[in-house]
Amino acid sequence: MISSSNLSYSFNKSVNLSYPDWKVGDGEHGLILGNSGSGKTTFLHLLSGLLKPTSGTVKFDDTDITELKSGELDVFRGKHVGLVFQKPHLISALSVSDNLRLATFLGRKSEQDARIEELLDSLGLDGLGKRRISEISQGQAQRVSIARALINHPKVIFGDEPTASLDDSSCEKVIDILQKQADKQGATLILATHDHRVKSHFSNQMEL
Amino acid sequence: MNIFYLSYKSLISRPLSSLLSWLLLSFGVTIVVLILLVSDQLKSEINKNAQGIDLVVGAKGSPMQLILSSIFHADFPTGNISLKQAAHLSKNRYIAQAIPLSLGDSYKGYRIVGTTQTYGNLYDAEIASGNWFGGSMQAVVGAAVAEALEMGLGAEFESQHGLTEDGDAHEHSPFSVVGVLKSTNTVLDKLILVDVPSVWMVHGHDEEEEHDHEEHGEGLITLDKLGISVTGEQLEHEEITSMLIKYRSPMAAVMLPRTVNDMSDLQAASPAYETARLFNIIGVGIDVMNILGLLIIIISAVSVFIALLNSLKDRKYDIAIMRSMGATGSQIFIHVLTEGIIVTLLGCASGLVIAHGLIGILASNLSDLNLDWGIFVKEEGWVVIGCLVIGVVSSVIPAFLAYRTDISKTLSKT
Repeated sequence: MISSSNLSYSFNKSVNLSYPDWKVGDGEHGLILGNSGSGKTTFLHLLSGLLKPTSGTVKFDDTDITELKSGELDVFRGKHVGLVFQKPHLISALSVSDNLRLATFLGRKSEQDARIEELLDSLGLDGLGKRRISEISQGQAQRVSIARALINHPKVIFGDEPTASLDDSSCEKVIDILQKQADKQGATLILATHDHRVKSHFSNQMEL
Repeated sequence: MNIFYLSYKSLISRPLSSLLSWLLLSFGVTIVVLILLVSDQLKSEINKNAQGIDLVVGAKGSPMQLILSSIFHADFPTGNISLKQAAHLSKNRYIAQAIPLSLGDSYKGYRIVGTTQTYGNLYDAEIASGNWFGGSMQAVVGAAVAEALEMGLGAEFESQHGLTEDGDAHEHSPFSVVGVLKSTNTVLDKLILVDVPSVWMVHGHDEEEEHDHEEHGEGLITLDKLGISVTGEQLEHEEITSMLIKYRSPMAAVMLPRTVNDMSDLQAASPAYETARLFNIIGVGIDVMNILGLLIIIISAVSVFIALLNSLKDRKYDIAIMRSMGATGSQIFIHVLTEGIIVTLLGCASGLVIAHGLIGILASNLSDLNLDWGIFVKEEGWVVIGCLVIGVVSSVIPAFLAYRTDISKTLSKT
């Protein structure tokens, strides 16, 4: 599904990160473990096409995303990549369902109100579509951001420390939701975290 | 969902700074457009009132005053000229037509003009009801006068000496209204027209009235170009205020003013020249107001710029998130640019609406000016284009900065 080889990235002449080759197969989920400063966010950004590597390749099936031009990469990301962050970072100017519509618009997918409803329902957010972002709780916002990552049926869902600021039971729930939703859509889930509570849920792990 | 909706939502999520930019621009546009409209309509009104009049001849004094009093009925007359001199001059071969005006009296603030029907023809006046005056002490009132004073056919009034409302009434000489004019949207609407001899009669002395009885139609001298018939006595002693002259040939423009100004008691004033002079004087005020309006528009552009730049600080993460969701750099660029353009176009539109609304309010409060809120001038198109340019210019830098947002770096900072 997704594989990297000879991946390295230089911030400047003195700071150079290089990563071991890694492969996550179809229907498999992967975990990038590492302490802060180990370069796991950079690795995640390289894998998800947010950042261009100094050298090496990242392949989604047969597509080498490092070969794509910047505009093509934007479009590719919109269609095939879902991202979840430590904080929800929803667009506060928009309502909950408009945040999801924005994702379909930017991902060049047709808007489907039924799909939005279904996602909100399955994440326990039913009836919150018209709410403003300031009117929902932090936990609800986190689930909306998961819905946003899922809505375009991405091939790969990346999570950057999605559980770092959650307590144990919320952490369990979020991991559970992410894995279940990814499985439901046949998507690959890749998380980068220093949170060892997550470890037991993943078999394919990469320690940085 | 589209970029326009996104920009619109983003704008209303910062209502105060958007409101400020919008208000400033609409205020600036209001001033500029208001001045455009008023000066345009003032010009067209002045031209309409001066149409068909090539030259005004009256008593010596300020030529501007002569024009103002004889054409626009706005200032006081410069004095009177003798009928004999006027009649003599009117025989000049360069003159096609000379309309006599006898000014100085009024009724409840509306000026009474002793003249002929030709004066009405100058403005294509049509009778709404009744007839033109056919004899002494008969009056035809303009549409605005009839409406304001509720004067219908048969109404009687006594003229007052002077042009202010507190003038002494000429008692025992009542005029009766024989005709009401349709509105022409010219100065005619605010005038009361009578024939020239009636003005003399109101001011007349006892002896002349006696003479009147003696003459009785015989020995009347017809002054062709002036369009009036007078007795020898009247020709010798009476006065009129001015004559509105129409040239017979273009040569007249060169010859006639010189001829008139050589006569010791008369002066000739050109409406074209004097109104141009008037515009030059008003022009300074118009320029000052225009500069003020433009300054406010520029301030609003700066405010749009600062508002967008400030919002970028808070939206850096939003923009990075949108990029991560597949937005291209140019989509982000257009998104920010659209915000600036929405504010400026809205400000522009509301400025136009307010300016036209104010013209409407002015029109109903200032009866001295014939203003129409429904008239658009082509310069307004330039104002709209100017606003669009301002919208683009003030948001292009913030838009470029948003375009340049480093996704990975921004998203790495929590």
